[in-house]
Amino acid sequence: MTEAHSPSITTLFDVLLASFPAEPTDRAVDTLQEELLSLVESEHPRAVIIDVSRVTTLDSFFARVIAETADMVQLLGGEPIIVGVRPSVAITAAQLGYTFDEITTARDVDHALETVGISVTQETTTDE
Amino acid sequence: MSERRRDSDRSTTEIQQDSAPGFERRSTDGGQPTPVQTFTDCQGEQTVNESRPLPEVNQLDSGTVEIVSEDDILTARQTTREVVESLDFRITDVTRTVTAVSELARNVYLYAGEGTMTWYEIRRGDRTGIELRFDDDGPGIKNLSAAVSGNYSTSHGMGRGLEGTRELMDTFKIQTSKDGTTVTVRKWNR
Repeated sequence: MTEAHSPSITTLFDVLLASFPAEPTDRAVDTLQEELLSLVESEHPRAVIIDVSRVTTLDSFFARVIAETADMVQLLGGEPIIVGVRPSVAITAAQLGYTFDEITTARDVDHALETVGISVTQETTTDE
Repeated sequence: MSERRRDSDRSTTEIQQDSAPGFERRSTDGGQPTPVQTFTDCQGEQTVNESRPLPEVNQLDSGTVEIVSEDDILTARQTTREVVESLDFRITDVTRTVTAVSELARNVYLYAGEGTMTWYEIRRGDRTGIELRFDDDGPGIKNLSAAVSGNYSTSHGMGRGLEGTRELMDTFKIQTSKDGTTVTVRKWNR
């Protein structure tokens, strides 16, 4: 099963969505970064959502790549948003002293889309 | 005696902490003939340049992961996750332990090229935990106290690999010389 280890990039409206797998190899992380940046260049997306909701381990290498990727997206004129950090990952990252001060975060993909002005409503939605 | 002398000739540097309950923290002013550097972090007193064993525990099940390629970092993480999940670690401690393993396995791969991770299921009284030992024959860490206090950074991570590992685990011990490095960490089930 390669799916557990290979990240994927999809397009939602004019937003790029990059999903990191649960347990990526270092190589898979590097590859995702490269692919994402070349797509940012060719597609000019309104925002780039980096979905880490499946990520169970955020070590210093992975954290650095994510922070760097967000910086690079910004340099290319895109808006990076990190979504789906798990509580256990957040606790560990905070304990390790990782700061993502400059990076926009959101609860999930829908929330991220809302923050860039795309409202996701389902056909049978009844607001609580 | 000659064994001991050889150890000190290799100028082994060692840092140790143990914050697991029930363990005695030994004082560092035990009349050591060699100079002892000390420093303190939130978990208590640390000692450098002092060689002594970790508190005794019973070692039960064990296994080894060879670290020879980048993909073995992933294998080390997965193996550790299986072991601590079987010990019923709560999710936060699973994440802490696996994250620490990822740092240490990557250090072995990056700085020594290859090495091994050996894990032990450990018991002390009615508590269970995991001990992980990382061995390599690499060039060692030149400035150990800087490396474990986070003042030393290489370009590969966020610069807090070793210090971060110390934060995440209950016990942290490192021995390094120009002939290699051994890092031993423990995490107890809460």
